[in-house]
Amino acid sequence: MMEWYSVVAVILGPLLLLMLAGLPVAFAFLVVNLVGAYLLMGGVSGIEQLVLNTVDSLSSFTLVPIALFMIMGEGMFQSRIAIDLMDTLDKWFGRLRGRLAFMAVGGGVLFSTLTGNSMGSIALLGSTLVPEMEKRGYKKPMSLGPILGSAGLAIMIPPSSLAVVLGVVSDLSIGKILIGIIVPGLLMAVLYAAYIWVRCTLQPHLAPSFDVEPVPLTEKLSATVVHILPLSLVVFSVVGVIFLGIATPSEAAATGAFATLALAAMKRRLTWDVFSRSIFGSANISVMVLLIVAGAVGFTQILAYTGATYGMVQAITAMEASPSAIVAMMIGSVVFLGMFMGPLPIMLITLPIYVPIVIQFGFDPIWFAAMYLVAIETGSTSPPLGAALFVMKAVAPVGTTMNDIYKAALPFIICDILALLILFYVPALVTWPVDAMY
Amino acid sequence: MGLYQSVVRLFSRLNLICAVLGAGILFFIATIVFLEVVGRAITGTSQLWVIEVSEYSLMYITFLGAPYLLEKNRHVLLDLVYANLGPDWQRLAGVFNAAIGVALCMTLAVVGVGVVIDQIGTGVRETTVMAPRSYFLTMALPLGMFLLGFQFLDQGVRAATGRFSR
Repeated sequence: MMEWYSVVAVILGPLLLLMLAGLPVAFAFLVVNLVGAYLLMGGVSGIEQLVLNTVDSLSSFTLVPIALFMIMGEGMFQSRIAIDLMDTLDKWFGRLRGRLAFMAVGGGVLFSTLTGNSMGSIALLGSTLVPEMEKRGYKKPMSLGPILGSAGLAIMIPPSSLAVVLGVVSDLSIGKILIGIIVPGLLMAVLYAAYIWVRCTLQPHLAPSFDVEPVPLTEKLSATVVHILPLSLVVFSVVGVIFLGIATPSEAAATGAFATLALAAMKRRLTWDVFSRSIFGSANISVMVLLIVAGAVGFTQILAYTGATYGMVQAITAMEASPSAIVAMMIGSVVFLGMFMGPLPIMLITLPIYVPIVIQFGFDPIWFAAMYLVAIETGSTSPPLGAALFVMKAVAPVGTTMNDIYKAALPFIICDILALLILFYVPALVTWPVDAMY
Repeated sequence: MGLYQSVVRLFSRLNLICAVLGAGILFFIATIVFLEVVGRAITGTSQLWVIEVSEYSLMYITFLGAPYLLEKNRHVLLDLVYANLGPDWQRLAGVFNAAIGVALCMTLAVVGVGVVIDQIGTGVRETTVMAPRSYFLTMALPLGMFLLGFQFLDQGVRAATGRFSR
């Protein structure tokens, strides 16, 4: 019987080699899954099981919003609604250096209230904002980075689908988790904005300020009424229908997609060309993401089947240390696993083990849940295989390399770790709002 | 070579048709989910088939669209090393990747066909409300894998003959 670290090396080594050789990520996963299924799961019958597992992993309603939010993003981009939104925000931001990066953070918070799904949020922000940022001469660290960071806020700001999953799996109050994660989410947004301000001040060439004439207040107001106010239709069609109990978060993705197309039609921009490009483009991006999801789910199953995942978790929790140090290691292990696996499998594997330990130590589980979600967000944007990085690659402009994305993500990962440290030492940031509400 | 080019063009057209079909299915599920929300708000009743059909559609969107994306080299790559290789090494990597891809896709296509035949033979159904025959879902995989396999083969031929560059 191989030790877990040998299994990880045997599985991960070929995977990384195939990826580095230039085989598309989804197919690299599938190759490792195929060989793993054949060797470890009973030869051809293992491959047959792999076929069935792949079908099962894709036939999930929780994946539907990913595809439908792509329509929102592509629709907003193709009909230039997003460009109008950015131009209007630009008028208000004036000559502030790095304003598009700040807008990415603001947009990230806004879209987080729309999507509740970080992958969809990255796809939406990436396909709408990055091309405009490139046009304005923004360098990759200031175009890709803020989007990678702030799109992940979808996990931290209600409605957050992963917060709901966490509550269900851990048997914790979903309402308390949703309230508890608001301040951490805003804290992360503030840290991102502070980083952007510092970096743009020290290296102005990363985000060139384009000269804009002072805009009269009346023009700002009229642009707001024409270009931003109608977006409340889209916001309502996503957030409003959820809060009114008209639709589930997954269904709200469809109402959001239709509201976006309706808005484009009201602006007389929904030509056949715009419509077909929006649908075809969103289908293409969805295929890229869904095929990687299918490969990654199979890979997670191989890791779990061989005991490698359990071994990783055990190795971290079995260390002799103080309760606080063990909690810190648990959070660290979530970040580490996130570098290789998707959020959902990590949650399903670790939460049933971690949460009882946290409760046994006497810590507030809601405090742990908030840090856990920050760790999930951090892991998903961490190299080499953080899921968000590949979604970013899928929607980034042609010519963007994974190296560009890794470099852009790094400062925001540091911001996330800083947020984790603040939450670790100041639990009241999570517990006080919860105590005030309940 | 003329015959081969004709076959490549035929597959290219097939890939495009499948991708358009996949995009159509995406719009279809957006429409039925939207109508479900509106209909439920008005009549207070739900159509149970909507969620299931949406789930099954994702399979078809993925495997109908994947060959077109491979033909256009639009699948996500980890290009840290690959992008910095010289032309000869890139060609070699191209042939290697294509060979791996053909082996992968054809294996999954063949085994997938076996699973489908088995599901047709046993008449097994999904354990859901609609209870469709399982092969309706599974057959998308071998179909997509077959088209993907041919696309990898073409990439290998182009890499080997020096007419390939990403």
